[in-house]
Amino acid sequence: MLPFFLQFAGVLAAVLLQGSVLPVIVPWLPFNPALILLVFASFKTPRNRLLALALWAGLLQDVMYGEVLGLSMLGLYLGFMAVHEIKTEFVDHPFTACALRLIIAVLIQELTYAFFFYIRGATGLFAALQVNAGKSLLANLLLLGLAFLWLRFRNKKYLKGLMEEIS
Amino acid sequence: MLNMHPQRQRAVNAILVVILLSILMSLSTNSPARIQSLQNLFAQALYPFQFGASWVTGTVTSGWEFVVDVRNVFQENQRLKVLVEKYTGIEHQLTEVRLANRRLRELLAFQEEAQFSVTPAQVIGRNPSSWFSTITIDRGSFHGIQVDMPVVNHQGLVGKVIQVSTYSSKVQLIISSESGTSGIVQRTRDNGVVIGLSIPVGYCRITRLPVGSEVELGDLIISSDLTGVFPRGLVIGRVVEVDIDYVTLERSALIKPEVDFERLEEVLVITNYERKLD
Repeated sequence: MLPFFLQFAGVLAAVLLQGSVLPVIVPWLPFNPALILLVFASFKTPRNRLLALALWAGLLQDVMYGEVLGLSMLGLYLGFMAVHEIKTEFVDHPFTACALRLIIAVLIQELTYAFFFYIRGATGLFAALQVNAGKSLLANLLLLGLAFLWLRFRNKKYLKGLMEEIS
Repeated sequence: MLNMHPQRQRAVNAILVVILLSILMSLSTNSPARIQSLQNLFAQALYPFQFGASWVTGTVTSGWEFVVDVRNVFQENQRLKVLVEKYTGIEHQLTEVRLANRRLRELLAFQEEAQFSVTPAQVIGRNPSSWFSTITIDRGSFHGIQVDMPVVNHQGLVGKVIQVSTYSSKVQLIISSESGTSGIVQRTRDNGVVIGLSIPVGYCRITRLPVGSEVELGDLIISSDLTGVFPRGLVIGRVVEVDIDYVTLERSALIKPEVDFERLEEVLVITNYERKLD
């Protein structure tokens, strides 16, 4: 497990990547590298620290790019609270385990956004949820796939450690 | 201290966090001024990182664009030479027309509208969530930016400033589902309400058009100063679909904005527009 400071710095770098770098290169897909980083961290990081990391990622997103302070924090907090409770014994491949956690985190985050808009009286939310959650899932599963490819070639040790953790 | 079972302690902690975040969200949406200083503090601390990331991206992408441009520079040069010759002739004609126009305006005592004073700004971030259409720009209260100032670019209306910190501000785009303003169909002069849509993403809709409105595909929609938020005459977009409610006979139209929101890099903040409502 990485030291506390490095994990927080890593999340900051990932949030900067998703708000200031990736939207310039691929504006049509909502990539969320901070979410991928948190999914990887969720295997070895203790619960309280994982939730603190999720809140930190949310705070950064809200302050730098968001409209409502607290919304991304809430979405990520709830998402990773659920992720931490998931038992992954029934999956034997690291990609499947990560993908499962990612799907849960993305869906809970999207549902939080939809609920927020529902409270504010927005209409057509079901259609918006379908499109936005679909786009977000597609983009982030693609990013997870790329991260796995990179790990396979550059950091086999980490992947091996992850597999041991899952099994 | 209460001696609670760890499971129960976890649940209590989670509920407390959710309640605190809900209060924070409520303050942020209903009375943003109360948490402005806190948000400002964080935004200022994070600004150097944000600016640095944006600068690196800008440098890399412009470097790449330069490489691509160099490949086509010779053909482009030849084509432009032909265009310059053509436009030199047109320029002379235009100067004549411009002078004639000025004379006629003076004759008619035409009051030219005051020119806007603008502050150029660089886009340094975008909300990565598909639910929100917000951008972050590198100009804040230090540069004279205030909440509700209109934001434009050479293509048309971009949106309005919704949050200001010392060195950066957030701009709500007109395609945001939270955005709403008044608009005019340029050809027919019909007034309506332009709202951003959550589906389809990136489009707006003009509603509340008069029953007899003759809005057509391709009509240009411009901003109106009725709501006092935006100046009159800024281009919003073109009509791509016209809908009729057969019960109320009210017409509405889907608008494709003229501004390319996916490739927004520089914007202009209008700093001297006096809102009608103020």
